[in-house]
Amino acid sequence: MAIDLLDTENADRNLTAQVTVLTDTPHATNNILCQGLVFFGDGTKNLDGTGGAFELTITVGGQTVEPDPQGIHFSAAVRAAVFTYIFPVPANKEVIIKAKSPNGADTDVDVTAYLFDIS
Amino acid sequence: MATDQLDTENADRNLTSQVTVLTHTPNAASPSMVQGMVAFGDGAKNLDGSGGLFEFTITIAGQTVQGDPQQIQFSTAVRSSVWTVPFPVPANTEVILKAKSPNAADTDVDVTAYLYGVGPLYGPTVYRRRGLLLGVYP
Repeated sequence: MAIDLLDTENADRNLTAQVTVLTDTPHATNNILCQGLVFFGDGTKNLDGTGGAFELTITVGGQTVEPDPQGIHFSAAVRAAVFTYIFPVPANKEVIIKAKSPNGADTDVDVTAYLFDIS
Repeated sequence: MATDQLDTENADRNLTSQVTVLTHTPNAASPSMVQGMVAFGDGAKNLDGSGGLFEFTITIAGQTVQGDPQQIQFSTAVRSSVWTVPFPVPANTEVILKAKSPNAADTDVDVTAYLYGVGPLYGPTVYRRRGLLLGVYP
């Protein structure tokens, strides 16, 4: 069954410090149920393959969603994906997704972030 | 309301090393919300019943979903199943489900994998589900 893609953003990112990978305001007047998905690596600009504890941060309307950061243990895969909780977004609130790698070599990684409306 | 079955694949599998049990591209034109389920054993070709830590890997468009592998403690049931949590798939991207048994005797097991289209969702029930695909769930 189809769902709506609210936003997708692609860029080469320096993940050694926390970096914003997606910014979107789902709807100006309606509350929305959202889920994020982030791809790291594209076959050319990949993760360095060390793995370890990556961190994600989500803010909704400027509020940092807790607990924060969300720690995800990555395997040695050089192309990886994570998805978020399904979470509610009040009308006219901005969602920001941020990511950070624990590995000093992840200075130039292709990152594609998606935000879906699943309500 | 019926759930859409996007794909099912059945085969006798050697689970002693990681093996692909399902490959499917849900929708060429639109994003989808999907959920996987994998059934091991059919009454004739069953798991050996040792249980232990089975491993699962899911890729979306070639990206390995983290943390990986997802480990599930199996009981000694010789016919078992696991399901994933619902997860989003961008348009025209391929989903692959892989499985591996810790038990050397699981060389010839009937495995049926399913992929369902389950979205759009209303969230609260999925939080309570226990599945193999944890994503960033704390």
